[in-house]
Amino acid sequence: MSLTLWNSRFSVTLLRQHTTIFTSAAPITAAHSLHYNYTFSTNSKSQQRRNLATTTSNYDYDLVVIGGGSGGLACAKEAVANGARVACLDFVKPTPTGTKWGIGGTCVNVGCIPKKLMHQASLLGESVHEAAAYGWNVDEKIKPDWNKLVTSVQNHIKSVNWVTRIDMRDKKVEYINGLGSFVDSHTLSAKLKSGDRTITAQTFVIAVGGRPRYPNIPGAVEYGITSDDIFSLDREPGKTLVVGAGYIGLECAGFLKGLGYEPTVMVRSIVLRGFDQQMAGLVAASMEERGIPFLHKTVPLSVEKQADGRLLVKYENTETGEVASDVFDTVLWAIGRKGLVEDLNLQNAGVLVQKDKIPVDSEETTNVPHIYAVGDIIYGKPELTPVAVLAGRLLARRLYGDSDLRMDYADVATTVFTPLEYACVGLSEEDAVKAHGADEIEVFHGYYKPTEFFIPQKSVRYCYVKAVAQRSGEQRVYGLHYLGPVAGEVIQGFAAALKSGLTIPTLMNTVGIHPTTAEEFTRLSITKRSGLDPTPASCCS
Amino acid sequence: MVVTHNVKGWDEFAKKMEELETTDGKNPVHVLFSGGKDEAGVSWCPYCVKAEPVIHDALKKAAENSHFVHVDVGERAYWKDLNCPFRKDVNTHLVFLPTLLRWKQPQRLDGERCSNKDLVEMLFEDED
Repeated sequence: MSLTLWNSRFSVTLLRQHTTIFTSAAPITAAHSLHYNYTFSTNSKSQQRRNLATTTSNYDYDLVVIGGGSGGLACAKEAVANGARVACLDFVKPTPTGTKWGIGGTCVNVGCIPKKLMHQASLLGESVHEAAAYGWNVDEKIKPDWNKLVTSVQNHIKSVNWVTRIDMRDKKVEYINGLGSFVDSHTLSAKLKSGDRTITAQTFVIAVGGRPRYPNIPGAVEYGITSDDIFSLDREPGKTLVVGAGYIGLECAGFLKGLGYEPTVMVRSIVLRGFDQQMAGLVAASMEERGIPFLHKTVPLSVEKQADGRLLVKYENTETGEVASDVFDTVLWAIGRKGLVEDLNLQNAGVLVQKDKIPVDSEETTNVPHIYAVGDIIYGKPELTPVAVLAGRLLARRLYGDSDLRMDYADVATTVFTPLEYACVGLSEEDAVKAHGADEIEVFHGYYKPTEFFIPQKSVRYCYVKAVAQRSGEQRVYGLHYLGPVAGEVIQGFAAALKSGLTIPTLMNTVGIHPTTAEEFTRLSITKRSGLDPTPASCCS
Repeated sequence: MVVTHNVKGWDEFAKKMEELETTDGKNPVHVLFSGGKDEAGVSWCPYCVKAEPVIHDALKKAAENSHFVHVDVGERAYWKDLNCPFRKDVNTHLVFLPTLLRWKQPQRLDGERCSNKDLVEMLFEDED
């Protein structure tokens, strides 16, 4: 089998061949017999498929998925579609302030979805102000109603929760609202409202995800909140200290500012760790330009509640040792997330962990051959919903279908939904230099001016694109970076191009759509090496 | 006992919902929207015909003292008009017939799913 050819176009061809082979075979309706009869003898999963086929299994289920988030649900549904008997456990422990939510995991309940909605609310406020410049008669006194926003966002989430549960029932995934922990490698004990239940399965997929960390300082847990709480907060956040400058911290600070609150961002060391640091610097600068203060090289020391109910935060500059304090209405911790391995009793199943995550091989297998993991719980992979969904779905197909396709974790595009959005795909400039050497890298870049920014006189100072590419040979594009409006919409298509082997000549031969901001990628002519000024001439076209 | 109400057309529907909200604000109200019936008592909407017996049968699973409002939306031409008030109202936002929902709550089923006994029972029994 040509499995080692993954990450090239061969793998796609291979998949297509499989499809052809199986669709041209005799009509087979039962997925079980299909697996049994057509399993490749050399396939590592043949044992698994045989177990599913013989129905002599003494286990309650073929597969139990622990965690009903993006990855777990995708895996469970796909496994059922391929003939497996599947149960999916989901349980949410309330936050210290009592916030809890339904099925669907982080993204739907306390992540991407509410974040994008609040970001949109914030952008709309901005648009209303711009509208005046475009001739709309706008009441200057417009202001947001936090409680109404929270209600709208939560209503949307609740309807998604409902649709998720209906979908599971419809697709015959048994939903168990309980906290699972391993008794042994084939047995789980689930804590339900109605008491404990023992569940056995041939195979397990761990997809429990993660939760925000709290710093180990006085008052952190008592008075602080996290992204788990902000989207359902029953009062206006007011003046908010956002501790942490990862994408979650920056996004929260961004929409709070847009909604008219006063966020401050506290940065321990660097902004947007793991992202291209030039872009990270521009993102931070664009936020500062909008009036969001950054406390650099600063760590919190304590949080105290004052008599008036506001929060006194003491903090220290780690370079100067200087201690200062300020008073806030809300303190939001965005210092990172930890994997939820604690409650799983993984030692009973013999599953190894690394810090609070689970290491897996290229087929998402843990060190225990019949226990797999997908999503945010796995060690060293991008923590993104679409990654978890695809990994979960492909895993189910390998387990119960006839696929050998593995998840490709490389070149995954992503977006940071800050007021000026940042999206990228592929390598950061520093990672490209690390991988190929500075002499082998060419960086094409340029500032640009979105057409629609002129009339309302919006700042174009940080609208910037760059392509990180191979310097010689075919000039393969290693990474694309975009700072500007609707960044995700711009980068998604380029991600497919990059995965297809995009080169600088191809990019330059692509005709742009005018006037858009995405077309800036087709006009990149200035290299960093040339030292030429990457700022555009005074006007467009 | 589930309290059943039958209404016909937008005005009757709006009046009934207002009445239920003022007289009984706490018990769940389930609403079934379906296409109007001809003289023989058969709806022009085939999925409504299919869903009705399933829903009426599953109704026994609904909470004690909850309400069930059967709404006859009207004739096909009236419903197909994109300005039909049932489509425009923020609380109904109807797109499909039949639609079964819990009033002002997330629980909602439409089209073919309204004749899936399992899903209909889940909607009536749901405690969230």
